[in-house]
Amino acid sequence: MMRFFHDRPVLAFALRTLAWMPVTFCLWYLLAPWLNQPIAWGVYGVTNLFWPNLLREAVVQGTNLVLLPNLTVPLTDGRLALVPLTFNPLAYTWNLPLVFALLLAVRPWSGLAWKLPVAYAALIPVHVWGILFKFLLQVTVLAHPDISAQIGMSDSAKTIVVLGNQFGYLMLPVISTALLWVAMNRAASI
Amino acid sequence: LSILSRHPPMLRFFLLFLSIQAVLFVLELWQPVREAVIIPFTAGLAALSAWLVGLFDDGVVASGIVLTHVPNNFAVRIEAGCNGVEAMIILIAAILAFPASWKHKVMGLTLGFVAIQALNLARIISLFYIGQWNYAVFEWSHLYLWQALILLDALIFWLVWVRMLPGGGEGKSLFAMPEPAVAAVKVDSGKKSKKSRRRKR
Repeated sequence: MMRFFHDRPVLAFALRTLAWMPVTFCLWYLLAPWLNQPIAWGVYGVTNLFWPNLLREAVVQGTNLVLLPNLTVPLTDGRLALVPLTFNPLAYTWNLPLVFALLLAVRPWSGLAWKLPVAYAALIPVHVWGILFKFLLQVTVLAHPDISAQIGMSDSAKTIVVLGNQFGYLMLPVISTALLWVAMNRAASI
Repeated sequence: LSILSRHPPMLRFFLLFLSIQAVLFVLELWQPVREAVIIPFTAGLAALSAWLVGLFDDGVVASGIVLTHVPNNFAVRIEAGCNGVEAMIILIAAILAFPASWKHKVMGLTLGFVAIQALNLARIISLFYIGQWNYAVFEWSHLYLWQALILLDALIFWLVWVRMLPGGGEGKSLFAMPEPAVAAVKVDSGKKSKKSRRRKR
């Protein structure tokens, strides 16, 4: 049996990755409230850097991220209200448990003590990008014109937001996983 | 960056990999390409899924990119991200960026397409039934698990393809190899590496 897998290292690597995935996915889901905290800080910081005071709060609630923009919505009685927007960061961070499973599946284990935290840190900007553009899409393109007008974004900027959102959801999680794993395993055998 | 500068083939691979992906991604989002290629392809996937499911369940119909279970009116729409196109883009970029002959690249692209889309059909069909059974499990599988499995499929296929290249099995890791050894995985240089193996014997 050992010889069978020794002669088929890619198959053995794939099976080890699949074996690690239930473990890493469970931990990722259970630890999401803590793992997502830096993403909340990142989204808050980057948003207010480019659009000062646009975000009043970015709070992790369970596995969700709740953003409270400084955009007012008129109520029927004439008062103005702030509307919190809820996002699911897990839809962007699913590549974290996959990267961990891939790193744990490499033999021999080497440098995991720095590889795992570095991989986590390296993926944070990717996840911030995804949620930031989703938020911008919500408030500039999908929201009622009265709300999006408060940001005053041009049509070309809105097009960039749409593209950024597609890129952040469809491509970035995939590209970052592949690049990270390849870059971190240049010296390892599979 | 210092690592990249010491390994020009690796730098070349990364730059080509990212450039090809960028071009293909923009093409994927370009409306004429979406209308002429992506949407018909996705509709084809829905039709193929309906045909496969029809082998054991005759209550399923496909209409455009929507797959419907007629008895309970449950339907799924195959959107961008669920048609395997993004995984294909990654694989195409990785294969085209890697030093190999065009013959091997075409073979890799063809087999890679089959490998990804076969698993993608399994994703669509499994999600179609999981959604009818339990929506929470459907969300979990759809948003997280299947995304990871399709990407893993592309990555594993690429590793298999690299190892099947002439000389590809010599190095256990492409990127661990010093520059001349990286060049040895090129098909042209593969003959040289065989000679050198003979010389060693």
